[in-house]
Order: sequence, then structure tokens, then C-alpha cells
Amino acid sequence: MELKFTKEGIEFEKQLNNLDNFVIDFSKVLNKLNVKYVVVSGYVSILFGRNRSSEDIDIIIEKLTLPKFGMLWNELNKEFECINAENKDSAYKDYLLTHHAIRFSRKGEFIPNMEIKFPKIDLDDWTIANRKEVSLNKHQIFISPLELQIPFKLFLGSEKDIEDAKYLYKLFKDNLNLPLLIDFNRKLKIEQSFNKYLR
Amino acid sequence: MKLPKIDLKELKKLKEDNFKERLDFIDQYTEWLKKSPNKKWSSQQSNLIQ
Repeated sequence: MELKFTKEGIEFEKQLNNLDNFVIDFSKVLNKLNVKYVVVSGYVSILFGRNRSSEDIDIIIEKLTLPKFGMLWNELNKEFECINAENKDSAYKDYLLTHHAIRFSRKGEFIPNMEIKFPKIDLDDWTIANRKEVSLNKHQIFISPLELQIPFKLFLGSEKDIEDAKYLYKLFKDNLNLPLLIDFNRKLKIEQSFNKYLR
Repeated sequence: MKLPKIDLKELKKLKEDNFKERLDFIDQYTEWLKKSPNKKWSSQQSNLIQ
């Protein structure tokens, strides 16, 4: 695996799969409108080669004003459609402001879909503030720092999550900020799982 | 219809063993991945995920 670690994040090239193309096309809209976002889901491990698929990709976006969200809604609707909210106002007020996710898929399709939320807890804000840039075939995608992504997957604790955590840790352990990862292990109280499954 | 005897303890152990095997496979796969060119692993991944 050829990865280039830079000050901003990670650069690499690969043969893109369907999920990669979906994320790239969606991210282009967010990047164009300078909306801060971070991909936090299992897609992070898929991005780096894990052989599984996913029907949804979780994204946290910075809290937007209604006018700015309106711009995003209009831009997204050129290529995508919201599959769970009726309109822009409902998406904003009934979903995002009440910390429920809105989901966008490509027009006429249902999966894969992008599950979008506003930050709800401090950890969400931290993730956005410390997001890492991935240059995938020269396309810019922002992901959660792996030092949080790995412990958080262990915290979620399903077999799939533990496998994702192990996968990312094995792949990146020589390039991680280990003290930071260990701090998150402690805060999330998952040291035991970490030692059991990842060591 | 007569159902087979089900030993939940045995099934739980089976589930744990399967999980451990999958985790062991991740060790093997990540070692292979680190040594493989991006073109090689990503074309295999792309075939699977399309």
C-alpha cells in the first residue's frame, strides 16, 4: 500500500469503487460551498482498503444557518435527493436542529446514502476541528482523526466495529499519535477491548 | 418435527471462535495489503464493492 503522509493528512491513489465515487461526488459539493464536514463511519476503513460495503456513510457537518443550509440543499439537489425529509425547511428544523439525520442518495436511488448530522456532543465538534484531509486520486475528503476513529469503533463494540478498529490500527499503527489514541481509550473506557482485540 | 439439541454455550463458543478467526484474518490481510501496490489491492476491492 502506497500512502503519502503529509502535514494535512494522507495522499494516495487507487482504483475507485462505487462507494468511493459516491463520497467523492458528495464531498465536491461540500468542499465547493466551504462547508466543514467529517466522514466518521465505516467508510473510513473501506476508503483504506477494507473489503466490505456499506449502505450509508455518516457525515457530521458544521452547524449551518438556514440560509447557508439552503444553499447546500439547492446545490446537492442538482445531483442528489433527500430521501427522508420533504423539503429544505423540514430537513433543517425537524431533522438537523433536533439532531436527527437527513439522508441523501443519488437521484432515483436509495443506497448508498449519505447520513448527515449537525454536531451534537463536544466530541463531534472536536472531530470537525481536528479533521484530517485525505487526497484520494486528487479529490479532497475529510475524515475523523484515526486516533479517535479507532477507539470510537471499539466503543461502539459490534463485531463489525471491532473488525474495522483492528483493521485501521494494524494498517496505521506506525503513523498514529499513540498518546492521543491512548487518551481516547481511557476517556471512552475501552482499554480492555483495545488490549484484547488490537494488541 | 423433532428439533436438534441446541447447546447455547457451544454456540457462543462457536461465535467467539469465528470472530477470532476473522480478526486473525485481518492481521494477515493488512500484512498483505502493506506489501501490495495500490493498483493491485484496489482493483480487487473495486471488483467486490461494485
